[in-house]
Amino acid sequence: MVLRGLEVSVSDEGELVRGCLTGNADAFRAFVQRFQSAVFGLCFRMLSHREDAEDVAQEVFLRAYRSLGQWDSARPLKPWLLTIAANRCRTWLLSRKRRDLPAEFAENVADPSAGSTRLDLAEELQLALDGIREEYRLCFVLYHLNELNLADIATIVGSPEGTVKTWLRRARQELAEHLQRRSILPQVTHELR
Amino acid sequence: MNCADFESRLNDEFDSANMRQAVDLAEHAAQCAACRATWDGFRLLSECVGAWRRETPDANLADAVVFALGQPGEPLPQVSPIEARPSTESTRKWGPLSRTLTAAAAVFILASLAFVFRPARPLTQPDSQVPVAVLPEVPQGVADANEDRPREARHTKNLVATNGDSPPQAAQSRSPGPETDRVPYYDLAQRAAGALGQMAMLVLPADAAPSTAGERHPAEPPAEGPLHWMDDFERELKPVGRSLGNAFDFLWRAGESADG
Repeated sequence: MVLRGLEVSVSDEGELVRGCLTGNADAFRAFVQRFQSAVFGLCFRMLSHREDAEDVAQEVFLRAYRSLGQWDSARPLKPWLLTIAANRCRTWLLSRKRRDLPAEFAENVADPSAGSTRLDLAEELQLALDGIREEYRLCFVLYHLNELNLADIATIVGSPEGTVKTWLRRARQELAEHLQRRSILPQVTHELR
Repeated sequence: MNCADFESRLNDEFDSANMRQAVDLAEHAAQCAACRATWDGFRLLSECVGAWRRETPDANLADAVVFALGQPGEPLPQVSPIEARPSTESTRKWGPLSRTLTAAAAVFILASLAFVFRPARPLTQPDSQVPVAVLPEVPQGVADANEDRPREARHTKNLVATNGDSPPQAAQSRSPGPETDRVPYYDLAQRAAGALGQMAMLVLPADAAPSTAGERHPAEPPAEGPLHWMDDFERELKPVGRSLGNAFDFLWRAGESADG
């Protein structure tokens, strides 16, 4: 598996999965710990809510465990897991739209109209992400946070690579415009990773 | 560099994270106000992406997931072993053949439809094949008994199709004269009965006996070839035509009775 220059051994993943399939709890715990950051990160950026993201991440791993027998060992595991995560996030967002917004959720997300509220750049970006289309958001997060290449993202979202590229450009454009409207100054003090 | 090139290059440089080092982009942004705004927005976005923290889940997430699957200390429920995804080779192998078969089936269906809905019979037939109505020879006793009936009523049920060796005599059975002053529905029924009789003659074989209720025609020779079902279809329609002819005959007589 190539993650934009990062080589990951597929055989290790195969060993890990084989251990999970035997019912070894320690192997599955190691499996979760290995991918929880990527899965939870995607869920958190898509849902903008920590508790919801943890619930969805847990559901993703449970579903992955039940579907591990269908995993094609010739393919990398991370995009497969992120595909499950992306689908679960879509379903979650859909159900959230159908029901009323819970009170604690409203407190967790900053109000975009409150321009005087000073957020750090990461929070501003998360706020901007909430305002763009789901497809754009998913592509942007998978590319810039999970560092997947366009081909893997195309597989995850189920669209052609050209479409993914277009969505990615539009996501950047809309995010940049949103940040400019919020009058964010780049020289705001923050810690760069 | 124009504005389209600027936008394309800007995205490329954003991917490679060296947007600030692109001197030509900065030069174009300094000259174009719209591109300047885009440039500033992307710089801002780059800063925000750089400040993006990698969110970590709750430390107990792995334990929670394992606990959800089974009791602590017990092995997890086993799932089916690793198996390859369903191969798509069989679908690919049959793909071109299935397209060919589909095309052949479509052609067959179209040809069948064209055959079924073709004109039933050509409008022009050789004279030797055109059946015409003739009057059969009626026994003298029956003829005498029919003397008190109108001429049309006498001969309607006795029309028989022949191969045209004899001159058409059906016209002779409808002589103008006193009938011309009859009521309109009588003429209408008469015309309809005549038309139906013509149709029945086209259907009936030349050597068929006159149709009578409850009487079966002599066995017709079995049709040959793969199209015998068409002949079966015609054979099934014959009783229907005869029944319609009888119905119009009844109407004709009723009109006759009403006429006095």
